[in-house]
Amino acid sequence: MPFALLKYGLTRRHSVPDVFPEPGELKDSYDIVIVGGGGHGLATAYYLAVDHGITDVAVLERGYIGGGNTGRNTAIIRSNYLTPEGVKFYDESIRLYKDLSNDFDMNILYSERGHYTLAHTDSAIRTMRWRAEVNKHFGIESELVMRGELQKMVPQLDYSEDVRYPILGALYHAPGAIARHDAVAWGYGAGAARRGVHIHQNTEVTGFEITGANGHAGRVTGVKTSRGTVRAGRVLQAVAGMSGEVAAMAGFRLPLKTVPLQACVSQPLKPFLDAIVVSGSLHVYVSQSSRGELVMGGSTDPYGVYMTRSTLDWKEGLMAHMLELLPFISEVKLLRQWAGMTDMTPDFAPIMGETPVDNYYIDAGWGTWGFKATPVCGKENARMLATGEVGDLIQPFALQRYHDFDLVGEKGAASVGH
Amino acid sequence: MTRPEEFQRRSHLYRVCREAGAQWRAMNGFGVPAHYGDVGGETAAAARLAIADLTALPRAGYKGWGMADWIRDQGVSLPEPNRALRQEDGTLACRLSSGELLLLADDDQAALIDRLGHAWSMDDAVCFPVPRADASARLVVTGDDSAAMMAKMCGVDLRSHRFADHDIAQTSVARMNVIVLRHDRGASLAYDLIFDSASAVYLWGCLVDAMAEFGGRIVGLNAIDALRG
Amino acid sequence: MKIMPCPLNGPRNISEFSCGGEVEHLPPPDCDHATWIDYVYLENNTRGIVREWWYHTPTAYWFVAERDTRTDEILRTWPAGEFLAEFGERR
Ligand SMILES: Cc1cc2nc3c(=O)[nH]c(=O)nc-3n(C[C@H](O)[C@H](O)[C@H](O)COP(=O)(O)OP(=O)(O)OC[C@H]3O[C@@H](n4cnc5c(N)ncnc54)[C@H](O)[C@@H]3O)c2cc1C
Repeated sequence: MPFALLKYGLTRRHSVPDVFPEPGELKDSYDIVIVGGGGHGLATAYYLAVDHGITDVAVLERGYIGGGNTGRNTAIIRSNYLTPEGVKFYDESIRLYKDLSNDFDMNILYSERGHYTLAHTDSAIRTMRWRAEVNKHFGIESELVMRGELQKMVPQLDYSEDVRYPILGALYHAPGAIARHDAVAWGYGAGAARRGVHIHQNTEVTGFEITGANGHAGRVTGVKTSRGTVRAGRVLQAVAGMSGEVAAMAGFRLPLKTVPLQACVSQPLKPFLDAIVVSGSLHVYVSQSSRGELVMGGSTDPYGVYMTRSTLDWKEGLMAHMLELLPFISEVKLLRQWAGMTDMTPDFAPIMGETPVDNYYIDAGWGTWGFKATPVCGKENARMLATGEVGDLIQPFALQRYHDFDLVGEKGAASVGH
Repeated sequence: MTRPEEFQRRSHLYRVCREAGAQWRAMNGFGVPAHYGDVGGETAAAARLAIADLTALPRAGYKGWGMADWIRDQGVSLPEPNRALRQEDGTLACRLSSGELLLLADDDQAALIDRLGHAWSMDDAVCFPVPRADASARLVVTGDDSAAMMAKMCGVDLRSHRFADHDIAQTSVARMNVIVLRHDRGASLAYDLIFDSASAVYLWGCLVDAMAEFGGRIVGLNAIDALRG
Repeated sequence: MKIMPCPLNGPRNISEFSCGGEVEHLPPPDCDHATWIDYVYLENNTRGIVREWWYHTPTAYWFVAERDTRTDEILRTWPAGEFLAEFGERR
């Protein structure tokens, strides 16, 4: 066996595993067309095939699988949100995540670390207690730990009192986890493709065919792409930062702003940080990957652009705050930097379900927090596309809520905490 | 020995200055650091690189659409926005925008500031006072190396050939909103920093840290007065 | 760092500013519900050239900037008064 490995390593031609069978030309028509081959779109296709036996499905992706925010996030998974709607929804996602490696027969490196949201002020302690109580009410492991205890649990942090943001305590969420984000996209994509779903990469959606639009938003019947037009029974858009653009092609407007979110990793270090640490006041979050890299992120860019460029000033700001928590990493080098375009809603909750256009559904507004929701979104979208009914879990996230002044108010728990 | 607590008014920085060994004198109702026990050395340092707390010096602000008209009626000459102009009694009139003025005195003889304070009334509705005396702190960075040191903390090019005497930059210094005024003392380059007094201890710490590499010193008001000549 | 040409303060680091959103038309107070919802929540989220309110924090100064959200280029800035004079109070 070691010799076989050595021999393989020394050969020049390595075969590329055929994960996504090349579907060839677009068919004239699909029962269901999914716009966007990120985690959300691929998970939807996967559960359509697995849960509902529907495989006459196309996923249209303008770039490559998982090249959007799915492959750019910092992979934090947790369910300790603030609103009952949010808590129930994300908890279901965690439940699904735990089985994914088995379901895919592929290791997504799901790793439970414990998630700590630091509190630096009395009012933050109060909010943490509130969140802990809401969480516990729904059976989620979530508790407030005060400074002394926290110091034993996460001894790596700087607990000095004469700093701008002294650490007073934290909301501790034991199931908080990280996973390998590409593997999630590949697992869902490969699982769907194996069951007959067509995954068309390098296929950009450029418009829709909509009938009966006189004075009414109409009904979608086809999807125009850079490779021709296909007829479609039902359509789902799941395009993150491009949500506004794609919705405009279908003829409606969204309450979204597209804003870049940057992230970076350090050079690999020996494992020293098992916890996931987040500070809203300092706008930082950090975990150590299984490769030893510190995975770091912070707040979104201060203004919107449709770009994935990185900026030095963002990094300087992030590192200044990072050093307040972990002063001893000041000599550590950054290894990689990148950004994704996030779709931010005013209430920090997603937009899911029906749209003004018949047979046209949406999965958007996932901003900086949608990786953890990938499995549950896939499940719920698949059910909706298969049956035409919007499930209880996602009903609170309807686009209609803005029209009814019935926002979700997840801001306290969603911003920065990812 | 005089202690700062004996005075009715104190700068937000008095504990920091006390720790640094300040010797106190009275000014404008405040206890101010006169020196730190080495007047000669401090005066020499002030020409190279030094910082001092000027929070005790009188200042005032006026703002509103009608500011320019009202202030001219009071006999004040106005400069362009982001410039300062020295008035007859020595007060500096710093124009922050077309509708906002900041007045700074360099000693406790603040005749103009007092006169405007008495002249203003509620009826002058389009011009209102800004509470600069307590809400702001004022520090000064003096000496040949001050531009190089400020470059570590501030994105605006403050070098003497780019930023003239009495130029103003309202900008970010050490991530805080600060009004930077170039206000030379005698032949010495100097920058006055006016900013939210609640962050005085923070910014002072940043300045002390930034000047260490140049061998800068904390000095008392006597050294600054000596520079002014 | 990205430089914003501020009409009052000249070229400055973009970190000294905050973006106040696209210049919008305030609907009349007696407008219908849909118009009001559109104004309050819905966004153009323009991919292309956009005019926005910007605020220079150290001077509490509002002005209008035109920029391209595809390239992160700032094309032009106006003092608020000049902008309103050129494009009317209602833009
Ligand atoms: C730096 C960063 C860190 C993050 N950290 C976390 C975190 O720690 N935890 C968490 O839960 N979430 C996090 N998120 C958010 C999370 O990544 C996203 O919410 C989630 O991945 C969205 O998945 P998606 O499938 O909807 O979008 P994407 O993965 O972006 O997929 C959308 C796809 O649509 C395609 N597309 C766009 N327009 C078209 C078109 N016209 N035609 C065809 N295809 C099109 C795009 O190419 C893209 O591949 C983070 C995001 C970023 C950017």
